[in-house]
Parts: sequence; structure tokens; C-alpha cells
Amino acid sequence: MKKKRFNIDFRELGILYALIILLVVLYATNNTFRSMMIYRNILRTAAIYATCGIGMTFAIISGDFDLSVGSQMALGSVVFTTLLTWGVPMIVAILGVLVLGMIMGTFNGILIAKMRIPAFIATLGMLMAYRALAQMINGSPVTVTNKTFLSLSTSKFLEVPILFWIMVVMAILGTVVLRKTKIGRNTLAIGNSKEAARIAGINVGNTQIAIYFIVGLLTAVATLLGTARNGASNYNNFSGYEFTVISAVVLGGTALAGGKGSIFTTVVASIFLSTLNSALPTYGVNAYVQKVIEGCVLIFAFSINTIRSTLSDIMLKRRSNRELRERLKGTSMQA
Amino acid sequence: MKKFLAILMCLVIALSMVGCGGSDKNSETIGTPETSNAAEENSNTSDAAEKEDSSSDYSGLKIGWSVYNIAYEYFISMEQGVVDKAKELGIELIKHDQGEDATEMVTGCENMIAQGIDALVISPCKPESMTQIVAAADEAGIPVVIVDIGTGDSDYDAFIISDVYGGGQMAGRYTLQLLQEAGITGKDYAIIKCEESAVYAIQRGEGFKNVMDEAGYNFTTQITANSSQDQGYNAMKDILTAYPDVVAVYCENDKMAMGAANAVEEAGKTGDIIIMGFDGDAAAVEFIKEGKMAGTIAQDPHGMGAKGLEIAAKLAKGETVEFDDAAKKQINFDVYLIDKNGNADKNFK
Repeated sequence: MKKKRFNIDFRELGILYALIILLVVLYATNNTFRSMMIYRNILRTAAIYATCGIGMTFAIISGDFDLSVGSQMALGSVVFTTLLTWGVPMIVAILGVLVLGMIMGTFNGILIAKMRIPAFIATLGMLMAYRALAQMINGSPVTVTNKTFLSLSTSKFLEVPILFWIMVVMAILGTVVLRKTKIGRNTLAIGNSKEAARIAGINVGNTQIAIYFIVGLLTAVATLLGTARNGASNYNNFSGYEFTVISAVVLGGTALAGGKGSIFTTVVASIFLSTLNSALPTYGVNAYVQKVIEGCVLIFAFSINTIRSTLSDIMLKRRSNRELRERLKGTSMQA
Repeated sequence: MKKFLAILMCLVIALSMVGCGGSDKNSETIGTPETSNAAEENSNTSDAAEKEDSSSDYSGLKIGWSVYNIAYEYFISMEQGVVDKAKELGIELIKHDQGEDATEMVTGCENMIAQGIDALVISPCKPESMTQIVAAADEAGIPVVIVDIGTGDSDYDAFIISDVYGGGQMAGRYTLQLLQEAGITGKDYAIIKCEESAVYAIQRGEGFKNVMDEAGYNFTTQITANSSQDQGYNAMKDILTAYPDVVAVYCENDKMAMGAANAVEEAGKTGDIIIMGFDGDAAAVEFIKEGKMAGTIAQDPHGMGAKGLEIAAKLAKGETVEFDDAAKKQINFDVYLIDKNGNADKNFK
């Protein structure tokens, strides 16, 4: 029953099987993957991808995506270290980053919902604008010296990095919002069909603003995790993160066309990408080849839906053929 | 669904095959066949035996090398230096490319530490994030050697950088020689500087100023052009307007020097003003051959990479290393002059 309530369909968990197979292969063939240390590294990086990916899952379920998350993270981290250098208490600086994230997300949402700019264009524009703003605020890198904040990245609870636990909490909250609240249901509805959702009385515009608000907030949490991980801010950090995050969401099985998806699989896919990213260099794979492989995985993920539907078509056809044959056999027997 | 799984499985296995294939070539001990076999046997015997003949035998060591971004010619050359030296010393080398991403830099280095490396050599794309890597290395008890770029105020074990101040002085002495040869009698000179945050690059101008001031030349102004060619051009235009009697301009990198050379050419003063750069970029050497620039000071990334690996091996074996600046654990790496004909002159001091 419980499974049903959160809509975890085990047929949709391809990425989980892929991760398990990958880990088994790595464990069997590579000494490095028999120590806890590498898994902790993998989970730390995965936590950053996944936290941002939780928000992105909402955007993609609604049928759009947000290209500006990498720049939002850069701006957030620059603002964070700037606040710290001004002598602002850490907790206030953290709140500042979260509020800034909500503002950036809401602004993206307004551009898309009220100004009716396609999400691709609106967030592409903000990708440039947020990063330029970050450079204007501080063009030089800043090292974080606050030991408490840095320990966020290094410390662990039950042998698992704190960064990962924070992400787990976010994932649970995100899943509850997606499955149990009006915002979540409306997100799924407009992803299926904006027109149908409008006719059903859903305020599509407000839902979109809420979605980008969620993206902004979770990206801000990811910013804090990433800044702790890097131990510094730099206006050109986190560039290209949007693509990693979108790949994680799509690899997790969330349809780019919208309408369905799951946060759990986004998290699993983030761990998968992070594992792959850590594993390839340990086999001495050349940096270029590594990018080719990562690209292929992404293309494979994008084509999963096509492959899946083609396969199910074939299977359906076979089954109906078989049924037809059996029925014919039955009739001939009778005759 | 089963077929889908089968395809997925094939993909993963194929990926792991690609990985395994690579491991045979790259991750294995780099070195002559005899040394690599010996290294494997040694590591199986005992640590005590290794320590006894630690004098100059580095085979059996496993060192991690993390590069800024392997897409740049400069770093390809630096990595080649590391690889060549590892081969020479029979050291097992693990390579990592940061691709200019801070998180990739931290994660990649920590992954190499997890692989049990004995020392880390890094040319950091984001020096400000070095503290996190040094913390991880300290936990594992291994030395960190930084090659070029900067240290981000981290607690590293050695730092190798081109002799920036000495390079600036070299540029000054060559400028004096050229001024004398050309019989130019003017005494005014100016400097076009890199951005403030490039803490090492801005020492180049200091070295130049030191030599010129001692020779009795008159420092007029210095303008920051943020290492860019466009801004170097604008800075030179400003200098030409404000100080028309300038006879020499030192630019702290080659890009700014090329911008300045273009401005001088437009003003029709090519040859009247000595322009020197720093780096030894191929494009700058072309400018020198065309007579637009007087020369430049070249860095040796290949040599720096090799030196970095050698120092890391020494530190991993617990040997003492000589620093040029003990307080900063800094080792200055020699630079050399590229003269007015575009030829390297390694003897000019």
C-alpha cells in the first residue's frame, strides 16, 4: 500500500538497477571501490546535484526546465562569502542565500508565467544575467575561513556525509510536496496538459511561479552545500551545472515532455552520475573519452522513453498475436 | 521490460570494459618493464625494505596529478613534464583533469587520495578551494605540491612557481641592453599590470621596476589592464597620450603586450618604444618576429611539471627539500628570455 501511495513503480526504476549493476562491477574490478572513502566522496558530490535536481524535477514535470541554476548557485555563493566578509553572522548569511534563491526563482517564474516568455529563453537570459551580477559583486575568488561552515562538507553522521543527509531531508520534503499537496498535483496536471489544467480550473500561472520558487529555494540549498564543498566562492564556479542537473533528472526517468516523474529516481540518478564521474578517472580513462561516455549516457537517457515504448509496442503486438493464435486454435478445436 | 534491462546492463558492462581497457595502459606503473615489475614485487614484500634504500629509489610510489584543464597547450606541456618524470623515476601516476571546475577539482583530488596515493601534485584551477584538498590530504597524511597558479593561502607542502620577480628583472636588463644598442636617450618608462588578485603575476612588474630604477630611469605610471589584450591596447593609448616621451613599456603578460604593441603601431611609433611581455605565447613570438614587440620572458611548464613530481616523490619518501623561500615553502623555477629575433636565449641572465 505504502508503495502505491508514493507512486514508486518498480518498473520505472531502471536507473536504480543500473546503479546497482555499476556498483557491483566497480566493487568487483576496482580496489578503490572497496573503501568507504570513495563512496563518501561520491555521495558528497551527488548531494549537490540531487538537491538542485529535486527542484529541477518539479520544473521538468511541469514541462519546462530552468537553465539558470548554475548561475544562481554562483551568485548565491558570491553573495554568501560577501556577507561573511562583512562580518554578518553565518546563520544570517545562510538565510540571506535562501531568501536570494527564493527571489531569483520567483523572478524566473514571473518572467515565464506573467511575461509569457518561453522557459528556455527566460532562463537562458537569466543564466547570463545572474552570472554577470555575481562578477559585478565580486570578481575575485574568496576562501571561506569559517571552520563551522567548512565542517559541513567534511563531517559525517552514521558514516554518511552530512551533505547527503541534508539532501535526503530535502528529497523527503520534496516528495511530500509533489505527491501530497495541491502544488504538487497541479504541477503534474499542467505537465500533462496546460490547456486541460486551465479548463479544470487550475491557475497555471501561479502554479508555475510556485514551481520556480521551489527550484530557486532548492538551488539555494545546493549553493550552500556546493560552497561548503568548494570551501570558497568564485563567480565562475558551478558553470555547466544546469546540464548535469537536467541530465540527472532525465536519467531518473522524468519525462522531458512533462506530466510524470519522481524525486527518488532523480536522487538515484544523481548518485549514478557522480559514481560514473568518480569511477572513470580511477580506470585511467582519458578526460576526453570520459566526456564522450558521459554524453552517451545522457543521450541514452533521453532515448529511454522511445526505446521503452518501442519495446512495449513490440511486446503488445506479440501478445495480441499469441492471443489471436490461441483463440483461432480454440475455434479450430471446437470445429 | 526485460529487454530494457538487458540493454541497460550491456551499457554498464560496456562502460566498465572501456574503463578496464584504459586501466591497462594508464593506471599501471609507468616505467620501463623491469622497474614496473620490480615495483610490484617490492610493494608486496615489506615497507621496511623500501625505507632502507629510500636514498634515490622512488619506484613503487603512487602519485596523483591533477591538472587545471588539459585543453590548454600550456597544461598539456606541463602534464607531459609530469608523465616524463614519472616514467624516469618508475613512479605509478594517476591523472585527473579538473576541467576548470572547483567541485571537480575537490572531488577528483579526494578520489585520488582515496586510491591511496603517496603524494598529490596539483596545478589548481581554483586556488581558493585548495584548503579543502589540503585538509583531506592532511587527514590521509600525504604531502601536497602545488605547481604554478597560486596557493589560496592553504597549508601546502611545496609550491613551484616561475621566478616572476627574477623574470621581471631579466626583462629590465634586456630592455636596458636594447635601449643602449638603439641609442635611445629618453628615460621615461611605464608598466601595464595584471589584476590585483593575480598575486604572482604582479611581481613581474616589481622586478622590472627594480632594475630600471637602479639604472636611473624615470617611472611614470602603471595601469591595470586585467591581463586582457583589449585593455592592454587601451592602457597603451592612455600612456601615449599622457606620457609621449615613454621609451619602454613592460607588460606583465603577453596578451597585454600584444594589445600595447598594436596601439604603438597605430601611433606610428613601432621601434621607438621597447615593449616586453611575459609568458612566451606563440602569438607573442610572432609579434616579436614582426618587430612589434622587443621580446618576452618565457615560462617552462614542462620543466615545472617534472620538478613538481620530483619534489612530491622526495616529500613522500620523507626527504628534505630545499626551498628558495623557506617561509612560503616556495621553489622558484627559472624562466628564460626570448630575444628580439624570436629565439630562446637561455643564457641571458
